[in-house]
Amino acid sequence: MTDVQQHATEIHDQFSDTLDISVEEVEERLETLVNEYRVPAEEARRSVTSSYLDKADMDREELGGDSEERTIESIELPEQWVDLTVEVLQLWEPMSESVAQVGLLGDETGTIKFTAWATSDLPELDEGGTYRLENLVTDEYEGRFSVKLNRTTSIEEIDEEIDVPESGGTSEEREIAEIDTPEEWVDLTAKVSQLWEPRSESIAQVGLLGDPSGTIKFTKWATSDLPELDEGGVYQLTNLVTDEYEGRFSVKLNRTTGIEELDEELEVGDDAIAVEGALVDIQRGSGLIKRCPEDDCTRVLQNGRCSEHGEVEGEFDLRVKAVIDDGNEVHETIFNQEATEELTDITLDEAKEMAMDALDTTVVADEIRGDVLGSYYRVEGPTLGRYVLANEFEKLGGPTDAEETLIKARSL
Amino acid sequence: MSGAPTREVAQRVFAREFSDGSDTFKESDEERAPVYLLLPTGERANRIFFVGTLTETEDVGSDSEYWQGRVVDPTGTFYVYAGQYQPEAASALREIEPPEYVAVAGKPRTYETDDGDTNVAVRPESITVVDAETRDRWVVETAERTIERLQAFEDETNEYARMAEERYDLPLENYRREAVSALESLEEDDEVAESD
Repeated sequence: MTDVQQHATEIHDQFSDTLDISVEEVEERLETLVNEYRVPAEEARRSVTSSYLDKADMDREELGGDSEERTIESIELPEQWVDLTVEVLQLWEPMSESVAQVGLLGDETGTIKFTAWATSDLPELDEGGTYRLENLVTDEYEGRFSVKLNRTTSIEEIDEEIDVPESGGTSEEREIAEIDTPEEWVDLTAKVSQLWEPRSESIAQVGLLGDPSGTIKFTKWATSDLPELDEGGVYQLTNLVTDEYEGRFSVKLNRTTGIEELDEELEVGDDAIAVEGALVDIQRGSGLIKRCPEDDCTRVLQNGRCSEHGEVEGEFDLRVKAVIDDGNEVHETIFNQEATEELTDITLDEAKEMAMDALDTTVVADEIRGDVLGSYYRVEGPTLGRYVLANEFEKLGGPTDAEETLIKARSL
Repeated sequence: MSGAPTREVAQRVFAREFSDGSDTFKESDEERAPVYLLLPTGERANRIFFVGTLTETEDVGSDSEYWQGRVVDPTGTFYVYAGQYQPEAASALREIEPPEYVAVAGKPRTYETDDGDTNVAVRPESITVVDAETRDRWVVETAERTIERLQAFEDETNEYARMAEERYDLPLENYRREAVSALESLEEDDEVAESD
């Protein structure tokens, strides 16, 4: 059976009680969308389903008649109606007001993320509680599955122990820099390089873990009841769950997390990062600048004055504060004198000459703008506050991934 | 969140999609709150960055200089307007001899035409001449970002997609097709180059 036939049969079954339609009819509508209008099959199904819902004057949720008892492991298709018997392993902080609860469910076969919408008006799930949940809808995002609770979902707390596998699936030993997917189970050998003040009572500890590959934020929930981590301590941590927010990754400790203190030193890698994108802005304070000559004070002078030492005879320096933007993220970068000379092909001496000829230091920044704005760069270096220090950089040429993007665009 | 206001990302959008946009909104009542253009693929744009061919410049001002530039990408035309309050961009438009590849960072601005339609143009922050490689890189990057927006469109938590659905209801398939043909146009260029 083709995908389209499969969808047609399923749609037909959903409406066979309410509408007088044939499988062929449904299939033909799907075919038109998929073949003629190049609509992806899933989208075509949605669209055909919507039109039948209209016709039958039904809500989408009313379709959820035949949910099936399933195990978490067996969930491998989106938009299916399922029943689960699960333990609530973790509750996370919802990031949007439309979400009432979000977290992780587990059963004997594995774990899965769940979302409960604020509009569904459901009773709250408790962390650690065991429930029988009926009429959940499965969802998929970038290959990972989740379940969504909805208005028709029934929730029954049950008095039963569920044996969620230790690892909640399989956790793998990782390096911090390798973490690039949320909701994965990982093991880390890491040093607690910083502890921060938790901002909420639900958080027991929050801070930064480091290993030779880099650093990552961690969160330990108060409800997880775990031993305290000490700043500077090196630990073997097992069963952490990765998370992502706005492109930054973190790990969460949970009740199944194992913590073992190790008696060894661990070098923590610096946070050198590489950013790539168009250079869309040169910020104020770029070009030929003057710095305070006092010992250990390198403040940039404003109108010949240092904010610490007052009016001083400044020393010339050259720098660029550039904004690198790839359409998803913005990074501010700083090029020091050496990097600026390489970036712009203007030496400090030449810059001084230009300024002298024009009786104006701003000509240098103007010249730099014309040279570099609008081109693409890759900049690599450690982060300092909100800036990336440009230890290394290169101007990027033509595209290298056109073919790949084309394939993606065609298959959408 | 840190105290410094975070700079708005420059969205990558093809001319065709950009000019389909007409709806603007603010996220707060403050007077200086950023204005966003709602993109039909479900994203908000307070700033955009694009690279294309500057094909024409004209001083359309009456009392003072007011420069119009047409910047063409594989899908359509961006209109760029710079006057006395954008002196650097205005002087770039005055001085650059079309045709040239230019990179533009700027803010979307909507205005009403005499027929009562809402059109959208760009108020540039910077306009610089760039090379063909930069232009090609932008085309691929913009196709990539467009695809990402299309992929995220159905997410129930994607509030700008829901907004776009409600306010535009435009066939998204067009934007996918534009991305494909923009990418194909690069390949054709390559073939032409190779056969030379």
